[in-house]
Amino acid sequence: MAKKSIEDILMESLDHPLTASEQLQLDQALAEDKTLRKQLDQFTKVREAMRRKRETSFGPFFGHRVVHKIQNLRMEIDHQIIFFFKKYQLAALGILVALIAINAIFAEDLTVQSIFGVEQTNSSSTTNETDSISFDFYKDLNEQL
Amino acid sequence: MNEARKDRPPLFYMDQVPDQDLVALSRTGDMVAFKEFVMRHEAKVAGVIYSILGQGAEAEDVGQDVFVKFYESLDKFKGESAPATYLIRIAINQSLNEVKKRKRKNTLFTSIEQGKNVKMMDEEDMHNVIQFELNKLDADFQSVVTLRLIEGYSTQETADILDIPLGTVLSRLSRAQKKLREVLIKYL
Repeated sequence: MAKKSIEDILMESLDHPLTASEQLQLDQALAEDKTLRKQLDQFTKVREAMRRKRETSFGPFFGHRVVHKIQNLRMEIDHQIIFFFKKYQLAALGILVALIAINAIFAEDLTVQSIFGVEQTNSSSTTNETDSISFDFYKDLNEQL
Repeated sequence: MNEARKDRPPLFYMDQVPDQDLVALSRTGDMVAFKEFVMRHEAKVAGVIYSILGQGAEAEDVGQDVFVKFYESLDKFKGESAPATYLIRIAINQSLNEVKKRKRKNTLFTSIEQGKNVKMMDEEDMHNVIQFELNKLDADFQSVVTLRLIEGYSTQETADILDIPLGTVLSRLSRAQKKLREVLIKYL
């Protein structure tokens, strides 16, 4: 490892504990070197100036404002989702109306069933059909016998 | 959300709930717990942001963004570091992003740079000069100086917050202080 310069040791002493030998080396250098003492003094002054106490609050009700912002963002996202799907909902509604209109135009009569395309079932005719099938079946059977 | 409210400690006890528990409650959507977390760490976040951006409405907006971003990343936060450490990291990054966006020039600085008013500078001017010179440093140096020299975090805490080795913190501090001494010493 490269040997540290006395300036590096000086800088490190400002932020980190030195080893015993480094501390001794620094003390000796400071005792002998006026420029180094001046440097240390300047660094100390700069650091003191920077450490000045500043305002450490964002003002009253900051917590409340943050929570409000988060809730607003949530609502905004919900609105975006609704808006995103709204166009699809409108398109689907449009298609539905068009289909009903087509049914209405081509329907033979204007009943609700025909407009909505519901198959008309007649219970009495169904019963007759079933009866006729049964009759035919027994007629065929008799002929075979 | 109802479950979170049921499990939440009484309101008068909230200031004694550890950060980790507040984060866990916040993750379930408990906004009372999150509000307590915001109030508890507002000062630290404000200190970092004001150190880099100075005071003003923009700084407060960044402050709000920091907490919103923290809230949004709660699901990703696995607890490898303390919540406060993670929060300060976000504050540093958001502030440095804002500095990049701004790139503003203040007329006061121009006159000071020209050597005028140096003797007439009050504490507020000095603060502005420091902030201006700080903003001229690279982001890596700026974050280290802000945390260690302005906010008074230890070198190890600074390393933890920025997620860099201690040696890197020390070397960046050394280089940044040399630069700052060159430009600031005439005002001291």
